[in-house]
Amino acid sequence: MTIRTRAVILGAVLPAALLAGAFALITGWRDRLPDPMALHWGLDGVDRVGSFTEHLLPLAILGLLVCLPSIALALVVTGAARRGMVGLSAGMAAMIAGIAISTTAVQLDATDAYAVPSPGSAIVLPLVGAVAIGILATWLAGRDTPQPATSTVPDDAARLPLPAGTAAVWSRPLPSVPLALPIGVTALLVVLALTFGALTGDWWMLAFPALLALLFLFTSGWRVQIDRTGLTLYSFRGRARHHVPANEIVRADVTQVRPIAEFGGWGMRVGYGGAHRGALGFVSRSGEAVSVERTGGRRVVVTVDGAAQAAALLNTLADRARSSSPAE
Amino acid sequence: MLITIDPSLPRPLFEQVAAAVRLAVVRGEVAPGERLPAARDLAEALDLNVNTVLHAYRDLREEGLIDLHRGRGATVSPAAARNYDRLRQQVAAVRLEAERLGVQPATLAAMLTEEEQ
Repeated sequence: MTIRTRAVILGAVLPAALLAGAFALITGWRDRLPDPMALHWGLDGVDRVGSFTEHLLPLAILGLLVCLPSIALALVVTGAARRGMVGLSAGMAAMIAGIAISTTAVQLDATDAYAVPSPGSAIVLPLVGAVAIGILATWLAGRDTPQPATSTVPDDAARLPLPAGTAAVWSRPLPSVPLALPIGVTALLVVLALTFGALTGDWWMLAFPALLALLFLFTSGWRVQIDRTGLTLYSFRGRARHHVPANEIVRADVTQVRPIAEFGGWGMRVGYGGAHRGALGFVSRSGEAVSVERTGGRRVVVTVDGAAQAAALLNTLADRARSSSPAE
Repeated sequence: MLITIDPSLPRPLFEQVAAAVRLAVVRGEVAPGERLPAARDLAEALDLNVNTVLHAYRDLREEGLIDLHRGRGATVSPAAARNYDRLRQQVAAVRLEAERLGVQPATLAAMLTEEEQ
């Protein structure tokens, strides 16, 4: 199956089917739902009720507002961000469908709308499911097909003098993000979740800081390695997470990164503005970074110390990859 | 940290690996406590036998330059790495002075490597 077909199925057909399925299911439940229905929950339980239409219509509008743009992006975006957009589209649709189903399911066979329990804990499962569907769709969206570079590396790109027959490896850890950031954000969420829990007796909100802390842990201790195969990013468990083959490198340069202005923050991100629009960024601090231009209009930006040496070695290795395997 | 290996040189490969790591530590290119690439990854990237890299890592451990941990691989020994701070400053000062006096790098290198008379 081509990358394009996968993007259509996972990024458009699947989200549409999830939303349509959820709304068909809810419509089928109509006779078993109380009239009026619970529409909104406050800290002390249901605080607003209304008709079936008042329940369904906002959910449908929300679904369209959220999913139409993400479906469009999944179909349009190519390059570094393609897989992520397909995953996002599938995950978003799953989340909306999950919220719609769980806020309806808690009301099945209820007689008094004000007595309907909070859907809080019932929402956690669809949320986790939505994340899982998003990750699965990202994975199934597939790798880009190989696109070996056809042109030589430009002469003005820096090189590292490396005698023929010499093997070279360059390895550096990704700088860690300012520690206050993950600790601060996690602590803030814990306090919020504890406050919410103390007020309502619902402790499911604690799942969010826990998930976030896991995510922070997973993204710490990464390492960049450059060798004859190209550029590889290894996660803290030593698994290769992202690879740019040497024969697909157009050129590598040193660049400067402003995380918030250009990537909207820190982490693995797609640049949205300035010099790095559309680039896949591994951004953990501001300043010096290596920018790798890849065939097919793709670009990868990695903030790392010693970027000048990294870029020079990449260009030299890209030269070598050209001569050892001539592009068809 | 840049490691280059030239198989055509008479110098044994494990020594070339060790020398490259040594230089990176002395230069401060790898921070105290920093993790070195796994021996397996390094061997694969340099097209070496994993035992060659392990040989180099073991030698470096005996010199007190790195620590080897089961499961966590090799890390730069914090104490050993810190000792080179002063040396780096002094080398930088010597370089600056040589530049000021117009002494060629080759002359400076000869002065540094020649035996005490």
